[in-house]
Amino acid sequence: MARIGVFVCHCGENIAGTVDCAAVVREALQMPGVVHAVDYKYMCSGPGQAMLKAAVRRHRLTGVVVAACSPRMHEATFRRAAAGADLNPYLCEMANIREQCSWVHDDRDAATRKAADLVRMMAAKVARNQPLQPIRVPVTHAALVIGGGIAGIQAALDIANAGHRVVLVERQPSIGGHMAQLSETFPTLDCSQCILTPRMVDVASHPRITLHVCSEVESVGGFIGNFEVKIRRHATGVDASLCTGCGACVQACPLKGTIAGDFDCGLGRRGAIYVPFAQAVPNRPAIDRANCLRFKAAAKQGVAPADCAACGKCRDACPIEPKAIDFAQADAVVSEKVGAIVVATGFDVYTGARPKPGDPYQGCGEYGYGEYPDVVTGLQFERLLSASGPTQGRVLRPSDGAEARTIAFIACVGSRDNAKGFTYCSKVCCMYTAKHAMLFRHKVPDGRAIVFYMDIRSGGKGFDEFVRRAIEEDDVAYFRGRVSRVFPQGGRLIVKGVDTLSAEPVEVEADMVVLATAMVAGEGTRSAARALGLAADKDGWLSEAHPKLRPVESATAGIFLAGACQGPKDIPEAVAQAGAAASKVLALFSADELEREPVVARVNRSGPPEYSTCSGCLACKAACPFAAIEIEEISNQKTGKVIKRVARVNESLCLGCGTCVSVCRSNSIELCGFTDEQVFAQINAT
Amino acid sequence: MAIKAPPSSGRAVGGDAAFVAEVQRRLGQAANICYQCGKCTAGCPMACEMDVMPHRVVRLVQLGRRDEALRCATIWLCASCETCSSRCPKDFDIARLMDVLREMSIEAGLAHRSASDIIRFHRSFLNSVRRHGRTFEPEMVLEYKLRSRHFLQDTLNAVRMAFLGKLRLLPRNVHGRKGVKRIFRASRPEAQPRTARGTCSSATAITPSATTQAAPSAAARTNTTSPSVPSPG
Amino acid sequence: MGMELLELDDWSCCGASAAHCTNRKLAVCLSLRNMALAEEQGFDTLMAPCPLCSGQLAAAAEALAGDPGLKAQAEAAVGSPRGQGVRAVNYLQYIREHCFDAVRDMVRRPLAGLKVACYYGCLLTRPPRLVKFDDADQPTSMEEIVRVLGAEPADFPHRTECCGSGFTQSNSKAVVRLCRPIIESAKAAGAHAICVACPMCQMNLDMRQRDVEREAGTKLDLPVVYLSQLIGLALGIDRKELGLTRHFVSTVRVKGA
Repeated sequence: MARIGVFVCHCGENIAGTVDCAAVVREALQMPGVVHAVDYKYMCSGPGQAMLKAAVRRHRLTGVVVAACSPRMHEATFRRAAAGADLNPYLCEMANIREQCSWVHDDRDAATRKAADLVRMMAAKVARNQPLQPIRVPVTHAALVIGGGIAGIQAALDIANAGHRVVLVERQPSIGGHMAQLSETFPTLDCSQCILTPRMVDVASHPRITLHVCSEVESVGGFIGNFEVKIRRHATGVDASLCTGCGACVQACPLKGTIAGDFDCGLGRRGAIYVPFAQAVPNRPAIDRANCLRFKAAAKQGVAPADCAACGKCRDACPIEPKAIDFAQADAVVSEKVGAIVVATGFDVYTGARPKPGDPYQGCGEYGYGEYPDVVTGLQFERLLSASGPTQGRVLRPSDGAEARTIAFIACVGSRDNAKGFTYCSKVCCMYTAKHAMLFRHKVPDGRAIVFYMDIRSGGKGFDEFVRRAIEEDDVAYFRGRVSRVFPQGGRLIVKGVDTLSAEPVEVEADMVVLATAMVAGEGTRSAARALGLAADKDGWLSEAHPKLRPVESATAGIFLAGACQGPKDIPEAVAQAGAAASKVLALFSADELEREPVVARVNRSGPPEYSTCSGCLACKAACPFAAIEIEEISNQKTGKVIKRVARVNESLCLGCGTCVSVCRSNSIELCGFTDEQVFAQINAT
Repeated sequence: MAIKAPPSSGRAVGGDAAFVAEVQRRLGQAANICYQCGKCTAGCPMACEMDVMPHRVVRLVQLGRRDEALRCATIWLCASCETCSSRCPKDFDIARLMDVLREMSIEAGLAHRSASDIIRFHRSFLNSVRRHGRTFEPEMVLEYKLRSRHFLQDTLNAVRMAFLGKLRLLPRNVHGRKGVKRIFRASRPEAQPRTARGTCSSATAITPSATTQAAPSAAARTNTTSPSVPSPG
Repeated sequence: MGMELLELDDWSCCGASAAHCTNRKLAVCLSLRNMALAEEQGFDTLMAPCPLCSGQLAAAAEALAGDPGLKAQAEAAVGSPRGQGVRAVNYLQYIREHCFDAVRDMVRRPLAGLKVACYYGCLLTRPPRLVKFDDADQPTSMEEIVRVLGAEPADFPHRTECCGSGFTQSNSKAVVRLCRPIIESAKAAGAHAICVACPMCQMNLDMRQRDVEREAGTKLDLPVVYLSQLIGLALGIDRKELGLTRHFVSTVRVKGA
C-alpha cells in the first residue's frame, strides 16, 4: 500500500504569489495513496529538508512528492534528504509548480487547479515507482592521451604528476606539435621551443608516461572507466631500444638535404632517414619509406626491404652492435586498458592552394599560393623567422633566396569566408600577424611591413597592447580591407588591396606575401573522431558536451577534449583546457568505482521457456545513439546450445534517453524510473 | 534610433527604409550580409575612376541613403566584370546590385550626368535589337552618334572596319521579330508615363520619367536636354 | 570533329550589357526566348561564342528558378514555358569539355615555336556559381588546349583582368588604361600573340592597340586571335577562311614554325 507524502513549497512569493498552496494541500489529501500533505515556505532550506526527513520517518512514507521548482534545480537536494531518512532516493520526485505553473500563469484559480493536477499526476507515478540502486562501474586508473602537442603534453603531465599512468600517442616522429614550429610566441615573444622543450623532456623521462611516437590509435572499445585501446606503432626502421640518437645514419643518407619535409612546411630539405628537428623528443630518427631508396627499390623488385641490396648506408653507418637500424621492422599493435581518454589532436593549416581531387577544401586562387613561390602561409613564415629554421632566421624569398625587404601580410585568408573558406574566425591570426610584422621589422629595421586586416581580435592579457606596439612603435602599416588579388610582376608581387578607412584602393609591390590562413580541423582530428565515435561540428571541430559549462567533455562519458581539436585557440587557452581535462580525469580516478544514475533502459527477462519477450530484432541496437546495446545469447547451461538471442543494455554506457523504448516493437524494453506503467499513470491521473 | 547628422548637412542617417526593402527585393539578398571588408573595391578595375568606392555603395544601401546611391557615377562606371561578386567572401552579389541600382536610377531619373553617353549607347543598342531582333551596327552607331553628338569618334576605325569586312551593310532581321517586340513591350517598367514625342522611345525599356525635376546642374543647362534624364527620341 | 554544331534557328540578341544594366526583366526574357527556341529545336545545350551571352543565359535560368513571379511574367512575355532546363556554355568550355580529344587528334600543322598568351578576361570563368568551369583565378583550360595545338603558353599575370568590356565606345580611355598592362605583360612574357575567346576582348585588345601604343610610347604589335582561329590554323584551315586577314593588328606572324 502506497503511503505518499506531498510537500507543497511556497518558494517565498514565487509560487505562493500565484498558487493557493493551502488549497493544493487540501486537494492532495484527497488523492489516492497520499497520507500526508503540508505546505512550507522554503522546502529546499535546512529546516525544510529536516521537516521532510522527519515526516518520512513519522508517517512511514513509501514515496515523496515535493511540489516546488524544477527538478533541475533541487531534485538532487530532495533525493539526498529522502536518502537521509532511509527512503530510496528514486521514490522521491518533484512536481514542477513553479517554472511550469506559477511563473507562467496569472489566473490564481486556474493556476491552483493546474498545480493540484501536477501534484496528482506525480503522486500517481510515485505510487508505482520502484526503488533503484546506483550502478557501480570499476575504473582503470590509467589515461590515454591522443596527440603530443602542447595540449596533449600538458594533460599527460598533469595526470601523471597526480600519480596515474598515462599512455601518450603521437603520429609524428616527435612530440611538440605545431608549437615546436613557432619561432616566438605572443605576447611575450618567448622563444617557443625554449618554453616547450623542457616539457617535452619531462614527458619522455616521466616514470608514469608511456610515449608512442609514429603511432596512431587504431580502435577504441569499451566504456568509461574501462576502455580497451589498440595502438598501431608504425614501423620506423629504427629499433627504439637500441638507438642512442647519435645521428650517424642521418648524416650518411645519400638523400640528405633533398626531400621537402613537413616540419619546415616544405621550405627545408631533409633525407629519407631523419630526425624532424634538432630538439626532437624522442631524439630518434625514422625512415620515410615513401622516399627511401631501399624501400622504393624493394617495392619495385617485389622483395622484402631486409633482403634488398639497394643503399642501406644508414645501417652501415650505425656505430653500435647490434645495429639499431632494422629494415625488417614491422608495424606493431599494442593493446592498452585505460579508464579515460583525452583527445588533443590539434589542427592543420589551410593554404588556399588549388585543391587536388578529393581535397575537402576549396582554394583561394586569387592569392596564388602554390603558384607563386613567394606567397607563403603564416606557419611557413614562422619557419623562416626561426633561428633553427631552413634559412637560419633570415627572411629570404623562397624563389631566389634574396632578402625580403617589403612584406605584405594578409589576414583572414580562408577565415570568415562563406564563399570559399570557413565561416569561423581562426582567433590567433590577428595576434600572430602583428607578431610576424614586428619580428620582421626587428630583423630588417629598414624593411616595410604592411598588414591588410578586417578587424583586430586581440582579447587576451596584454594582447591589444601588443598589437598597438606593432603599429605605434614598430611602424607596421595597417590597412583595413581585404586583398582582392596577388600577382607577380617583374620578379615581385603586386598586392591589390584597399583601405576602407580612407575609402581608397591600395596597391603594394612586395617581395613576399604572408597569408594568415585559417586553422582547420586536420586529418588527425578527423580520424580520432572516427575511431572514437565523437561528434564534430560542420567544420570538423570536435563537439563539447556544453558550449558554456562543459568545454572539455565530449558527449561520450570518459572522453575529454583539450586544445585546438575542439576549436581554434592559442597556446594559453590550450594549456588551460588541458589542465581542465586532466582535472576531469583525476576526478574520475578519485575512486576505484564510478557511480552512475540508475535511470537506464532494461530488457525484460523471465524464466523459461520465454526468457524474454524480446525477439532479438535489435532495432534498439541500431537506434541507440550511445552504442549501449549488445547482443546477449541465452544458452542452455548444460549443452551450451544457444536458445535465444536477445538485446541487452550495457548499464555503464546507457544514458537513459529512452530511444530504444520508443523503437521496441514488442514492448520488451523499459526505462527504469520511467516505465510505461508509471508514465501512463501520470497521464491518466487527470 | 536615427542619429542626427551635424546640422550643416541636415541629413538623418536613419535612411530610407523603403529604398532598402526595394533594393533587397530586386537583389534577392539582405544588404546586411556585407561586412564591409572592401575586397570588391580592392579588385575593381574601374575603382580609380569612381566617385564612390564599390564597398561604399553597398554601405549607402545599408544605410538607406537612396539619393547618394542612385546618383553616384560609380554604378555607370562599373564594367560588370564580376570580379567583385566572384571574390566576395560573403557571396554578396555586388555586380547584380550595380544592375539593380542602375535600373532604379533610370526609373527615378537620377542617373549621374556623366552617364548620359553610356545610357544613350544602351538605348541605341536596345532600339536596334527591338527593331531587328539583332543589332545592326551601322544603324546603332549612327543613332548613338546622333544622340551623343560624338560624330567624329572612331570614324577612322569605322573606315578600317569597313575595309576589313567587319561592317555589315544590311541588317539581318529575325523572323520572330514580333515576339521580340512583344518582349520589349512586356518588359516596360510599370507605371511608366509615355513621352509625347515619337513612338520609338515609348516602346524601349529606357523611358525617362516624365518629370525633369531631377535637379539638373547649372553646368548642364547649356545642353537643351536635362543631363540626368536621357533625352527621349 | 564528329560533332555537329547547329546554329540556333532565328536566335535573337540577348540584350548584352544594355539589357542587364537597365532592365532585368527584359534581359531575362530575351535570354529565355533563345532558350525556349533551343528546347523547341531539340537542343539541351546552347553554346554562345560570347561569354557575356552565355553568362546571361545562365543568369536567366538561375533567376527564373529562384523567382516564381518573374518566371510567370517571363513565360507570358516570351509566350513559351520551355527552355529553362537548357544548359548554357561558352566557347572555351565547349571546346575543353566536349572537343578536347578530337582537337588533339586532328592537329595537322602543330603551331611549334609559337608562344601564346592565353587571355581569359572576365566572363569565361566568372562568376563561378554560374560558370561552373575551371578556376576563376588560376584557370588552365585555354593553356591546355593551346599546348595540344603544339604552341607554348606564355606565363603572364593578367590573364583574368578586365579589358574594359562594353566601354569601347562610351569610355575608351578606360579600355586603353586596362588593356595596356594586359598587352605589355603578355609581350614581356615573350608572347607572339594573345589568344582570346571573347569577341569584346578581341575588339578591345585589337582595335584599341594603336591607342595603347600611343599611350605607352612604344610599338607593341601583338596580334590578338581567337582560340577558334588558332585551332583552325593547327587543323590546316586556310588563313583567309579563318578571318585572320581581318584584324587591326596584323596576324602574319601567327603560325607554326
